[in-house]
Parts: sequence; structure tokens; C-alpha cells
Amino acid sequence: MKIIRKYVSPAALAVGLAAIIVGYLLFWPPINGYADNGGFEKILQANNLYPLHDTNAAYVAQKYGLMHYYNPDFGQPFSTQTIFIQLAILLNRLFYSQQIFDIRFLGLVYLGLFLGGVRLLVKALTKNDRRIRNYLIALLTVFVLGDSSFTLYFNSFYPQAGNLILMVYCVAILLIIAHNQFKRRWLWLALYFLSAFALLMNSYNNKLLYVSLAISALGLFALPKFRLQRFYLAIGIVLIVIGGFWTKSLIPADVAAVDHYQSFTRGVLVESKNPDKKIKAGGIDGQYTLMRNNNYYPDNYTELAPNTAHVQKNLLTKYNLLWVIKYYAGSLHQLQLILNDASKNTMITKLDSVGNYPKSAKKTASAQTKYFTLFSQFMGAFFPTTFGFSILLSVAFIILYFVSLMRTYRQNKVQAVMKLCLVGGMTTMAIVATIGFIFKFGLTNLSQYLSIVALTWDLAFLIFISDSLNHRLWGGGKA
Amino acid sequence: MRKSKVALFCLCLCLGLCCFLLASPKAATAATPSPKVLLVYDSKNVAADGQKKLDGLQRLLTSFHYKVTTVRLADYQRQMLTSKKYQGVVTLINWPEAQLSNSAFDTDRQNFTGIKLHIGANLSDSELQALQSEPLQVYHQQFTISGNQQKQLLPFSASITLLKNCPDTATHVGQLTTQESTPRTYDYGTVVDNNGYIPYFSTSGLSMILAADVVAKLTHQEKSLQPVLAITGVTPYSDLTALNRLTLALYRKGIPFMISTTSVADNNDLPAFRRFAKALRNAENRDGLIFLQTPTATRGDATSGTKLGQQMQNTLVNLGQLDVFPVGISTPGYWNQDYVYRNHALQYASHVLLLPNPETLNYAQQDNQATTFDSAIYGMPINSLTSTQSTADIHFPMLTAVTVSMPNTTAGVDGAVRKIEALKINWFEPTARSIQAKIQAGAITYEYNQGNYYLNGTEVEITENPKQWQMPRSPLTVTGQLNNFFKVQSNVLLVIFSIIFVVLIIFIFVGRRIYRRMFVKK
Repeated sequence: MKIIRKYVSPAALAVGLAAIIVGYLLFWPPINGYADNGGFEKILQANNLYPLHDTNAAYVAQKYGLMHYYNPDFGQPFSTQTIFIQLAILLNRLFYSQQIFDIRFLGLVYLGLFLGGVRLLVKALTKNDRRIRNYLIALLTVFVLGDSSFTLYFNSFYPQAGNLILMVYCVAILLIIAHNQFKRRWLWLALYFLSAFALLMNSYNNKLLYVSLAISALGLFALPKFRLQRFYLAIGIVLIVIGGFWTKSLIPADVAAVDHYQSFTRGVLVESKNPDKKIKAGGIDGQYTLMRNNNYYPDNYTELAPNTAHVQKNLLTKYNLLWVIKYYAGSLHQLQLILNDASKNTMITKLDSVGNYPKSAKKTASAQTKYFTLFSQFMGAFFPTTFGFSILLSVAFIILYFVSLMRTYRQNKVQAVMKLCLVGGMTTMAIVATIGFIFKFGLTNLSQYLSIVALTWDLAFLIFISDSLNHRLWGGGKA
Repeated sequence: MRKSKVALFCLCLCLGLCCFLLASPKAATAATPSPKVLLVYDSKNVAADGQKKLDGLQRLLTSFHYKVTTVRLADYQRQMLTSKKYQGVVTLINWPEAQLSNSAFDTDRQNFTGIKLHIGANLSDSELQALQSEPLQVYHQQFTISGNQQKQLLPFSASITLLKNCPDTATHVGQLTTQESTPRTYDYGTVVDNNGYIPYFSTSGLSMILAADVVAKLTHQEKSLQPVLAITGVTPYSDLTALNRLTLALYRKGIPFMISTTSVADNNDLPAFRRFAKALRNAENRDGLIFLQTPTATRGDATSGTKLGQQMQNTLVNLGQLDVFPVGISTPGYWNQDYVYRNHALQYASHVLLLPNPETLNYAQQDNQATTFDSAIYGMPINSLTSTQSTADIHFPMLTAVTVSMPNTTAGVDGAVRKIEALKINWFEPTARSIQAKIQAGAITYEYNQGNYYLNGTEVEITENPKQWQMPRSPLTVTGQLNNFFKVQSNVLLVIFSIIFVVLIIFIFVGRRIYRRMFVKK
């Protein structure tokens, strides 16, 4: 043990373990990943890629074709994800092929970033301390973040891969600043805003995250000797808010139509015995309640395709965010039921609807891997399934860190204030994002969209556990 | 003992076989197999909407009870067409400029002894020989087509191949007249013995009716039937007020009609479905017949047959529960060219309304082996007749539906009714005629016979408010023991956290007081 403590820091231990565990999942044949549920098309098109075979949700496609000629959709709409994918394509062109893209290069790019994130986070949680408890924290971090339900995203074109990694960076950097671990603080501040922007820009569904990113950043005002720089800090926070709204404008019209339709059929219409009246009051024909639980892209057959002019004119042009907010404001009980439905899925982070293996693995269609999923299985089974619990948990976290702030204010004001803001931001996000996703998507693809909420809870728990073990929470430690 | 057992077994077997033969409806139809026709086309020529002509021709031949096998000229292989396999052959030339040909087909066609019909230009020498005529090329003309006491102006034609010096035995159908100061007149369709020729084919309007007359003459099925009115494009999301207004207006004016509507397989517990069914029941009570329109196919998938069958059955059951009994199925023509669609949807019904194809086709398993039905009704849009003069006594050689798209406003309804009235057609009255239609899907059989509806053999009365209606059921939820456990556990946790929450708040206040006391002197 002494030797380990002498030569291997907790951060190095975590990175090493994560590299082995995740590397085996992503690269060792048969490779694992998440198959396409229909959302890849636009991302592929925006990155000069095309599917070589008919992609489907049952099997992971390992190889893609690289386009050779002018593609007007390149980089449209702009997202951070494009940068990651282009980096992977560059590596692919250098080391593998000019014609065929192997998804493992994308997995490699994401894994590299992910390991950086893990290293930063463990450094922040343990403050480079080499006591045994901090090795435990490192192991716990790997156990939580290395869970396959998250890392399977790396071998896919879902924006969730970038979301999860960048979220880890944002949290880790704020913790590092709070713990005052490095000298050049301005560099870390710049890094925080960079990762926050990258996260907001990673997918046009991330606009709601600006709330929590901004709240988390408020704690930075407590930093000492910082008067002059507060102005820049304020600008940064304002930019985050603006960035949130700008992301919204990037959503292409056809994607917006899909989201609108499903937020109606799989949100507004569910958990309600008779939605007729309220829908009519909102100016939409009550007959559309018959579309309950329909998908915008039906599996095979539909009585009326959602992309027909009739539906566009009589339903989709009348339906917008304001309509949804008004509707739910008048149906709070239904909203509560839907939120509980969503809460049941929050911690079930693994996408069960799509396969994890390529066709060459000779597994059954939509076969699921069980490798390193103990944590997500545990959380899925035991995390309480009511939305009220999430709210209580948020309040408990905030009170906990508020008390911690009062107790340790004299000892370490900066750390206390920043942690309260960070935890406050994170827990607000868990609440706001869940409601936001319900408004935007209804109950469609919840595991996918809510994965960031699940990760936020996981990170909050990690911070809490490391603070408790290191006696930082109630003071008295080496804080 | 043993012998008697064997004898008993044999007896049972024979009895069972007899029962099976008597009960099986297919056994009855197998006695008179439908004649088969090979439809050979040179190209779809989508630029000139040639694919629509192909679809129209397929539907037309199906409505004449011919099993149509379609093959592209380039895909034709020797001995595909033999007098043994087929009773007829139809050649459709969509792209005359390309001069496409296939010598194997030419030879086989020449040796073929059944009915031969050629549509479009590029007549071969042997075809001309069989028709005993000479070709006559006419350029840059706009024709008026006339026949059956009707007239209609055709679109401009750059070049058309007509026949001259026909034999005396030839029968002519319709005439083409030029728009010149001294009009010239040519024959439109020509029938010489087993051979027929049509210079120009359109999927609707008078030229289609006359082309159908040529087919009728060739196949000896000359009849004179009035068309039936069909309202198409009705969905559960149509404006039901408009639908009610339309059916009421038609009923008051004494116009019998059919409604081609889609419906839902799920969500039948919602009031919206009840409203929709009521609108359809109203239509039934106003001498309207319901045809269930097949759903929109969104993705071609050969394995989706079971799903389709299930969806059709659920849809039919849902409607039947509310006393809406479809008498047939309506579908775009291409569904009859698809193995999955035929077997899991169309063959449930004895009466099928064949509508023109939509712009995008999604096949599940295209095989181009169309089947026949007791009645296949050819759907023709009403607009193709509005430019025809004197439609009052229009008649067709096959069952035809003049289709009107469902208008979605009251003004649109009034306009549609005016348009229908203006045609002054003497409409076909299904209730008055002895129509026997049947839909059989899964465990249910809906029959229609001379104005009466039968559900699994029992006659049903269609009333304003059907008594079969069951109140909406709440959806079944599968709640296992484990789920209950987690529910309890989550509630317990909720309580614990609430208590902790309260205690923490108390602690904050107590702590604050202690803290203050440390500094504030009493």
C-alpha cells in the first residue's frame, strides 16, 4: 500500500483504471456502443459522413463512409460535437483510411477527453491528498463515471457523449478553483467558461443548462483580490445566458417539428383521462387526442402521417412552447404525474431501446451488454421514483452546504460560497432540466435526454462523499 | 377392436375434411380461377407521369377481374408469356422516343393466342398485321375525344400514332377530332378479333372510360354501370362538423355515397374516437357505405406483415364496437402489387376500392403480382369529369367510384356538393342493388347485404347511440411485487427525508441562537 501511495496518486489510479475499463468496452472486439435510433442522420450529414449500410436500432454500425465532394450541409448546425467528430475524422485519415471512417476513432477522442475529465475531477475531490480514503474516492469515481451506461455513448454519434464529458469538466474546474489548487487562477476561469460554452453548444437541446451553469458561476464572485476581474466574470455569465438562447435558434425546423409533435403526443396527451377540453381551449381540435403516444416517424403504418399538410396546419403551427407552458399551468396534477413518470426513468441511464453490439458480433438484435453496469443498475433500482424526492434532495443538498457555509465561513469563505453555488446550480439543473425536457420532448427518449440529470446527481453525491470523508463539510478538516 | 379404431379414425378424418371443404370460402372461389394477364411496359417515364398510367392500367385490369402480373420490357425473359399461363397480354408504351424493344417478347407475343392489347405508339409490324391496319402518324394536334354521347378536350399531343385502312370486321370505340377550321376525325380505340389498340391512355376522364370500353370489348365483359360517389381522404382528424354537413347534404339530395376513411388501432377509449365513430354512424344511417382506407405505409419492411394485420384487425374491431361496419377496404393501387400488403390487409375484404397512387410509394415487399377481388372498384377523381360535357347519363363498363376529397371547411363542403350536383350523374345505389360485401379479419366477420349489416352472421341495427358501447377502460398496468416494493420504499424515503429536512431547519435556528449567545452578552 505504501508503495502505491508513494508512486501512484489517486488521480493517476482513477485514470489508469478508467482507461482499462472503458478501453476494453470500446475497442476490444466485439466493440460496444449505442446503435442509431434515427437521430444520427443529421449529425452524419453535418460531418461529411454517410452510413455504409442501412443503419438500424438493433446493431451498432462500426464503419461509415467519408464524403468526397462538396457537402452544403457541412457543419450545419454548428455544434461542439462537430469539433470532436472532425478531430476523430482527422485521426482516422492519418492512421486508417481516406474512404472509411471507423467509429472507434471517435471513441478514442471521447475517451481521451473523458480521462482528462476524470483526472481533473479526482484531483479536485481529493485535493491531491494521498490518504487511503482518497484512493477510495478515486475508486468510487471510476465506479460511477466509468459505468457503461455513460461510456457506451462514446462509440456513437449521440451528443450525450460530449454532454457528459463537458459536464464533468465544468464541475471539476469549479471545484479546483474553489479548492485553490493551482496558481494561475485566470487560466482555470477561462477554462471554465470555455467548457461551459462548449457544453451549451454541444447540442441544441442544451439551452436549459445555462441556468445551472450561470448559478454555479456566481460563486466565483467570492474569489479574493478579484475586484477588477469581476467585470469580466459578469460578462462571462451574461454570455452563458445569451449562449443558452442562441443555442435555441440553431434548432432546424424539421427537428423542431418532431420535438413539438412528440411533446404533444407523448407529453400533453399522456396521464390525462380526458385532455379534450383543455386542448380545445388552446385552439387545437380535440380529435388530435387520438394521436396519443404516436411517434413523428411511425414504425411502419399510421392513420395519418404527421408530416402531411393537414397536421402541419391544424396542429403543429398552433403548437409552441408558450402553448405548452399555458397548458401545464392549467394541469398541474397531470404535470406531476408526468414528472413522476420521468423520475422513474432518470436514473435508468442505459438506453435499452438500441443494441450495443455490431452485427458482426453475432448477437441477437438489440442485444445489451452487462459489462460494468453495476452502478447504473443499482441506481436504477434504488433511487426513489417520485419527482418530489428530487426536489427534497435538492433542498437537502442546498441546506447542507448552507450550513457548511455558516460553519466554515471564517475558515475558508471562498470554498464555502463556491461550493454552495455549485451544488445549488447542479441541483437546480436536475429540477429545471427535467421539467424542461418534459415540455420539450414529452416522455420521448427519456433515458437519453435525462442522462445529464442523472450525471449531475452522481457528481453531487461524489462531491458530498468526498467532502464528508475529508471533513470539509462541517469544518475541522484540512480545508 | 383395433380395426374399429382405425375405421373410426378414417371416418373422423373424412368428416373433418368435408367440413373443412364446406367451411372454407377459398374452396368456392377456387372453382373459377381469375384469368391472368401479363402487363409489359417499356419504361415508367416518370418525367411524363408514365408511372401513373401504369398504375391506372393495373387498377383497370384488376377491376375487370384479371390477375395482373407486371414486368418491365427489359426484364422480360423468353417463355414468360405463354398461352398456357396467360389469357391476355397488354403492352404499354410510355416512352416512345426511346424505341425500347425486346426480341424475346416480340416473338412470344407473336406466338401468343390470347387477347392482345397495345397502348401507345411504336406498333410492331406483326402487331399491325394482327390488327390488319396501317399506322398513321399525326403531329401537333389538340384533340377532342368523344364517345358514349360525351365529349372532352384532351391535352396537346406532339405526336400520336393512329390506325387507318382498318378491316370491316374492326370495332371502333370513340373518336378523336382535331381543333381545326375543317376538323378531321379519327377512331380512338380499335378492336380486331383478339387484338386491341389504344393510341392514348389517361388514368381518368373520358379517354379512360373509352379505353375501358376497349378492354370490355376484348374481354367480352361489356356492361353499362353507373358510377358510385366516394368521399376520400377522411381521417379521424378531419373536421367532423364538415363531414356531418356533407353526408347530410348528400342524403337530403338523395345522392348515395361511400366514405373512404382511415381509423385508429389504439386510443379507442378517448371521447374523440366516439365522436369520430358517431360521424361515421351518421353516414351509415344516411345511406353511406364505409370503406376502411389502409394506413399510410411509412417504411418498407417485409417483416411488418403481422404488425399490419394486427393494426387492420384492431382498427376494424374498434369501429365495429361502435357500430361502424366497413363494407370494404380502400387502398392506393400499389398495395395490390405488394405481397405483404395484399396478404395482411387487402385480402380481408371482398370489395376493394382502388385509388390512384400517392406521390411517394413505400413498398414492403413488391412482387407485381396483383390479385383480384369479388369487386374491385376503380377510383377516378371528380375533377377529370368536370370538363366532360353532358355527364348525366355517363356509364362505365366496370365498377367505378368518382372520388371527391374530403373538404375541411363548411365552405368547402358546399362547394363540393355543388360540384357533385352539377355533374347530374345518375349515381349507383348500393342499398337498392343486391350488393353482398364481406370483411373477414381474425375472429370477426362484417357482412353487408342489401342494406343490412351483419356481425359474425347476426344482423345488427345501427342506431344513433349504440348499446354495445362500453365506458372507457383505464389502460392495464402491470404492477409486479418488486414495483410495489420500490413504491413503498420510495415513499418511506420520502418521509425520512421530510423529517430530516424539518430537523435540519430546526438545527439551523438552534445553532444560530447558540452562536449568537457566544458573542452577545446578556
